[in-house]
Amino acid sequence: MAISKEDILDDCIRRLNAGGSIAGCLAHYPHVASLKDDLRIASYAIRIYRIQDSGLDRSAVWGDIRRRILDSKTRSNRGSVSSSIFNLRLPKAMFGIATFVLAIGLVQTTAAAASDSMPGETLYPVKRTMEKIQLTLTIDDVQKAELQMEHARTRLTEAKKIIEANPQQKTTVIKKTLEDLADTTAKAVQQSADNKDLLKKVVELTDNQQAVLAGIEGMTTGDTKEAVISSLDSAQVTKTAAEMNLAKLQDQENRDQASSPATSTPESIKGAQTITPSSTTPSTTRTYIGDKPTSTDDTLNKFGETGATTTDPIIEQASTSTAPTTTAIINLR
Amino acid sequence: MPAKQIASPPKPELDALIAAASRGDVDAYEKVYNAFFPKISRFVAFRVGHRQTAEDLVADIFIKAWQFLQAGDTPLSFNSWIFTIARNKVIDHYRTKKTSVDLAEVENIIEYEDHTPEAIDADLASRKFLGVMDRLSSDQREVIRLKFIEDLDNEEIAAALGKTTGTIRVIQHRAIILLKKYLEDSPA
Repeated sequence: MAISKEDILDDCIRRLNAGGSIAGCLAHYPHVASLKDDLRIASYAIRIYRIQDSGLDRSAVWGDIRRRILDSKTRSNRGSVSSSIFNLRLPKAMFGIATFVLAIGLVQTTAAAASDSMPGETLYPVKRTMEKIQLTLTIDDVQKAELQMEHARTRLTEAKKIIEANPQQKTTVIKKTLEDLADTTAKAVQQSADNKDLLKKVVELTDNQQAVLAGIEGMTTGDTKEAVISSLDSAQVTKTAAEMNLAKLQDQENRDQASSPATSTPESIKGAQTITPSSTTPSTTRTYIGDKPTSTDDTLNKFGETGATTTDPIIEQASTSTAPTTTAIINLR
Repeated sequence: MPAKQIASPPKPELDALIAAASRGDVDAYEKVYNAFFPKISRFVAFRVGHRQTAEDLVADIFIKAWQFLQAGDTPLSFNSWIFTIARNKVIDHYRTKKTSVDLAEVENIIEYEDHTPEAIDADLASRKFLGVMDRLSSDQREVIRLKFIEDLDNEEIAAALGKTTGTIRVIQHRAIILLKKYLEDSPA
């Protein structure tokens, strides 16, 4: 089988990069016209730079990748579908509706391109709209809260990336992103009002926000710096609110257990709670398809469990969910 | 100084690891990651100055590659489309640094920033070579860099530059002819 001269050159470059010599290559491929000259040129470049380490931390980066992969696997095991097209996580039963809704027009291809966009980019509004759709279609309260936290994390990453790339510019965009961050975090707290696990996650979330924001504050000046400091304050306020909430719930639990240990059930504890710290009004932030009752007690009992049967009536109401699941379209963006 | 090279598994073994990863095997994917990390990390780091940003981009690239593997519809070979993802991530990163973006301009005339570490101990011939590299077109320079310095193969270079492998071969051929000519012509 004849090998082309280019393939020979390629092979020799690989050898040179691996530490081989020109003489070694020439011995391996005798009588190849002008190979010596070509290798001489290649060796200048290789000698100057030698394949250098990128300086990046391979195992640290893998740690990040592995954690994110396993996180997304955990979410899909909890009864939601992870779609790599849209980067959405929706309850399985919702996927039919979501596909129908999102199949309208050219949204599918745009959605894939939008999912990585940054504030200020053309497709960014599409990304935000997709997030809103995600929220609207999420019925389960716990999932809704977690989704809001996920969005808060996204806002934080966006702000961090923009600031790191360009600390002196894009003040308006940075300010808006940080405002959205505070807004989404506040909504997540409201959504988590009576749930210890969720509140703990909120505390973790705001902790992380403070750490990241403190880290990038030093890179900023002027208006941007003010916006970052203001975000730090917001995060602190939210964290304190969540911690207070948590403490009250814990107190109530302790008191209930002390008074009637045999009969307390999760439902009755939830039913007894009317924790309404001044900053949260749980019933008004929840929206349901089909105007489900907004009273805290009812909703927690009916919608509090993941994978509850309440998703069936929702599907019937939507009545357009017969669209088959579409196959993945790969858009390499 | 030469970097410690992690030996990449031979192709059939790598293909098997990629297939296992596409079925959700994270441990197999780690081995795929280790095999591609050197080239991808260099590709990103040499074009994106900030180290933390470069690491974030590399993580994003491998996450996206994982998602595509799970979706199971990958007609091209893994190493060409992971470089397509890498290219797109770097382009998107450049976009966040610009106040206004002409998409066509960024994609067709992509002039990557150069954050290659400084050449050390460059002898006279090598310094002359560097001077001569400046006389090439940016496409030619990029192909020479990717081939000689970053050790990418033609498929990977094509994906990284958004061109066909045929075009890459032509560019490389022309670039080497020019380099030979300039090196002979320039004063010693």
